Amino acid sequence: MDARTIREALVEGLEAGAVAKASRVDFRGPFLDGALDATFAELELDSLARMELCIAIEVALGVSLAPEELERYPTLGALVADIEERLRG
Amino acid sequence: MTFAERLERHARDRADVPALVSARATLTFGALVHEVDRLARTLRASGIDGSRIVGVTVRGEIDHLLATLALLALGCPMVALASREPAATRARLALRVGVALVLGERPDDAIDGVPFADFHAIRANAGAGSAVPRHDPSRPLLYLTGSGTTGEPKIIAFSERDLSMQSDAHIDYSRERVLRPAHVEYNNSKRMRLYTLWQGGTCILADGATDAPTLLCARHAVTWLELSPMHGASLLEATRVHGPLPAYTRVRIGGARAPIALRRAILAEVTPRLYVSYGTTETSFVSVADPTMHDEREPVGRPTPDTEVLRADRTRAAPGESGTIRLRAPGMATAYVGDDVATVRHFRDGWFEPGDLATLDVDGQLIIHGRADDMMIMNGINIYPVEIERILERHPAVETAAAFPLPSGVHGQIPVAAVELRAGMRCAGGELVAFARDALGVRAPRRVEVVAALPRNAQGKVLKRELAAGFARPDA
Amino acid sequence: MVDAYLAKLALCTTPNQFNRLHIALESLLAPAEICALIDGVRERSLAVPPASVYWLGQMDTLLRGDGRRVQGYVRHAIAQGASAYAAPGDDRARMGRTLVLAFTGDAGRLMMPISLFLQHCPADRYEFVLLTDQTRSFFLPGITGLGNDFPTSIARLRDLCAPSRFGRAISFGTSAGGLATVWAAVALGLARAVSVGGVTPAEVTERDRTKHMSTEAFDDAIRRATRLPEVLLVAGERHERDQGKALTMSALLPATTITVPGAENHNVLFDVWKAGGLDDLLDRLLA
Repeated sequence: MDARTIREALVEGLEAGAVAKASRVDFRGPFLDGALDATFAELELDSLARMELCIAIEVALGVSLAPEELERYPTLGALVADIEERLRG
Repeated sequence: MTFAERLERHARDRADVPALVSARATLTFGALVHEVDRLARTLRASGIDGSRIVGVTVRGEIDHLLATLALLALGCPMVALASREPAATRARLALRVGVALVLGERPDDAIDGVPFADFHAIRANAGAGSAVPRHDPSRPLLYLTGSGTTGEPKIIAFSERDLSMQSDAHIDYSRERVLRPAHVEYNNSKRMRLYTLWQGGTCILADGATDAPTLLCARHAVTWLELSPMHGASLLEATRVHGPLPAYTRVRIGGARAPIALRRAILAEVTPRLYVSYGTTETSFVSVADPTMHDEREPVGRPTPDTEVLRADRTRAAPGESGTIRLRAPGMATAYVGDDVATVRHFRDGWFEPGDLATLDVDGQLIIHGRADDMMIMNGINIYPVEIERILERHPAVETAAAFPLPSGVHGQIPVAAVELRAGMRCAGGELVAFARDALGVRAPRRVEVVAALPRNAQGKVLKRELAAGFARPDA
Repeated sequence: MVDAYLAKLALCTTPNQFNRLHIALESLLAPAEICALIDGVRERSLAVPPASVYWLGQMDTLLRGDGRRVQGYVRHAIAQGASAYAAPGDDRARMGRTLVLAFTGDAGRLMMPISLFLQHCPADRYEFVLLTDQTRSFFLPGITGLGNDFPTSIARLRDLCAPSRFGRAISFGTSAGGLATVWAAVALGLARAVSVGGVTPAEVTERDRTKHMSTEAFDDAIRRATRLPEVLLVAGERHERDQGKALTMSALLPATTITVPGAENHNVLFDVWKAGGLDDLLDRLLA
């Protein structure tokens, strides 16, 4: 599974959680291309958004992450990297 | 709970909400309770203590309501002897009810042989007076005259308990500002004003102002404008002159048949927010048709199961079948005062039977066809005047039609009609006879007269007996 | 209802699956439906997974924790993207109520579970039609099941919901539903539009999915309206972006901005609820 697919799943999850930035023209495209990153702090996820993100990751990628575990990642890019790791081995 | 107690609660919970509003004055619930209590104490100090029935002739609407509420607070039975009625009518009603004191404003308001008390003089003497003792809210206190235009008016007496139950079953006025151009002396206005106050809503009163209702609605931010069909027609005229009603004003027409032509004209020119309701004095509110429900059938809404239509054998009619209507309601009257014959005829098994013909249609809509008494029988054929009236009113020249019987030794009753034409229109009676014959066949009126104005009573109901008397004269 | 819930629970194994089920229920069920689940599980002493115990307990606290009655709203579906919530009542009762067309945000909610929102709106005074756009396109492609564009969808909605039979009809929307809220009120001649942190045509151009969609029909609707609704725009005092959105919308038609003092988050309604002020705020906005 390539990084783009993982990133698409993250964007899907963020949109379901009504995280506005995820849909923005100046973010979405570059992020999917791997040219842009975002910190979790600037995304301002509330509890609903954290749940939706984890649901999307599980549904699309089969990786089980609990909402509380998201605190481990400073950025979306770090999360993408970790998911790639899990999928590999 | 008595009215006084209910108003006291409003004075606590919504002290600053206007209760009575006219051009000259606004009384909040807080102020209203104070005024009513003061007046009640004063009346009591003048010897009005609830042991005698009082006839009330007070012209100002706010004054009239204050008098009504003060007498209710005293537990004093009362009847309005309307200032607009002829002296003989007032005297007759006072006699039938047993009025022992007239509370009025002018010497002419007095009734021969009945003690008279000057309302304004009493008010001017507002002194301390002692507190008014509480009374039982189930005592009949408010005497009203009932529905129907034939014979002597029927008399009903409601207790505060009845009025409170009727209020709770009526339209929710608790957040509304309600204007009824018809004077509070009259039955329906009296009841609706009391319901509004019971619910904590605001009564907007014309109180002598001659401005068009359209202007009053804008000035006082009226949310409900309640009219008889006759007033509805005036509203159309007023709109043509003064412009449409504010968007927040809803219009409710009740009290008599609201023809589809009138409904459509109001919807097109006055407001889309038109409601047409049906009720009786004896049972209060029955049903209401909302803006989406107006059609050729002239429906009056979907009533609760406390409305039934009966066949001649007193079994329930099927949906779509016509029959006589019977009604039940919380706080309804159960008898007429001083008229056992009419009581037995109209109040049966806990239901009230007004003597109206109606249909509960397949979609649940109630359609009123008119009084059963008005039904004509010609050679064994049943003919309802309202059928004839609806057809004639479809003619482009006709504004209003009134159909009634001419007695015939041979045929029983022959249907005929009189019509008022629309402004500026001309039409011969003969053309209307042919027009109606096309639609009604054997049920068509055999003669149609064009008149300048249909004779009506003070409430706007057409006096068909007078029309019939006019027809019986040979043609000029 | 309880049995259907149990059947869905049985299909869940991971925490995320439980969350997905519970979020979906939060976005749909009326207060009485949720309470029926809570009470049904309790009365039948059913053994349910810990995630369910937790969620039912949370919802019990949210909906009834302060001792308030369960509002009598009954839900029924109007179209795929439209659900109605109304307490039973005859014509007379309903004509005194206010009809609220409620446009949800991207997450399909009004900044909180719909049942919590409804618990703070007396059921004898209001009826709601909840509208969602699962494509997250600000309702520009219409409401699923009611047409392929926004004007068609709200015309159809008007035919189905008959705003004219109510005492008053208004629109209410949060976040991504804000533009639709104002547009619907203008197009249908509603008495008022309330937009809480609501988007404007500017946000439409910023979003990838919608950047090519036109909002000219919104401008047309404003130009053609014979009478504009009262427009209330709600934004947190310290949320710059939402304050900015209110400014943008105010430039397009007359509007009043209501600032929630001290509020920093986009989700002002939930913050106000936490502070115990939601009844009063909703009364001010809806009544």
